[in-house]
Amino acid sequence: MKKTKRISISALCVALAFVLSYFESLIPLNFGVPGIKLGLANIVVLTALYLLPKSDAFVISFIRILLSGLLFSGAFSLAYSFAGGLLSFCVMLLLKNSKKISMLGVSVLGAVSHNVAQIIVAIIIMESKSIAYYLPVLLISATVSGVVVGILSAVVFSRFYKKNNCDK
Amino acid sequence: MKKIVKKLDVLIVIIVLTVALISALIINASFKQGKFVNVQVDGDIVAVLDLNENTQYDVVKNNIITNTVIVENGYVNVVDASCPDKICVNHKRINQTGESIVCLPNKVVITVSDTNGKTEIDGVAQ
Repeated sequence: MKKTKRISISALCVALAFVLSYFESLIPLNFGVPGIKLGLANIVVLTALYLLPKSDAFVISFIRILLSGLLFSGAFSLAYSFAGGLLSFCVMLLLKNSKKISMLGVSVLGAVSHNVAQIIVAIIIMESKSIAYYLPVLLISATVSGVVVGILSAVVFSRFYKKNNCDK
Repeated sequence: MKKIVKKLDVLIVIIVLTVALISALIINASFKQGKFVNVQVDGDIVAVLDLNENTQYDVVKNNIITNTVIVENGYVNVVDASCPDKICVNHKRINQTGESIVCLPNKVVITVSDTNGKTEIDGVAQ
């Protein structure tokens, strides 16, 4: 892929992920448990992971978290988002090459690791172990959103792949 | 594009849900009616409330009331918070040991426990 094309596709992905983060911030999902969300922006990161070089996908995820953290969820949550983003990216990167797991499984495990990382950071920041009690609820919500995001990503990926026959 | 769902994907979902269920059961089994409410700010216990006594407690940080905690009829609840997300306010009231209400922006953790966290710390200090 040409450098210009790479840059412009990455930029488009950041914009798209950013818009999805904004869209998500408009949906009130308040169950009294911090950390439950749809993770729609992960559709972009996951698809980018399969279509673009991994460094590009990482930059997209990183910039998306920084932008949406500063604008929508407040700077205090950046530590949580970065920890979650980093761990889930690593997990998804490792699993993506596996022939036995499709995007759905990668997405679910990405979402789960995102929440696990956030709980660990919360335990460190709040200096309270009782936050770990939220783990079961978060695992279930991560599975549900992971499945949704995984299916959507697979659909996006297959359409994109067919159309461009992606010259990697 | 290959199949969207593979065998291992289904297995992953099942495993994650099982882990969630088992950990929920373990946590639930450890729950019992608590006696005290420990209010923790920035990792330090700032107040211990008696769960059997109706009271109101304001968490004050930098001269601003960040969270309003009330104890009523054996339950503890957060009725007001200064943060924008109000997750702790939407949390249901709690009364079981180990249950907690967390406010991430204000770094406030309210935990129901069997023991009085403050006297325990003092006990160690003596």
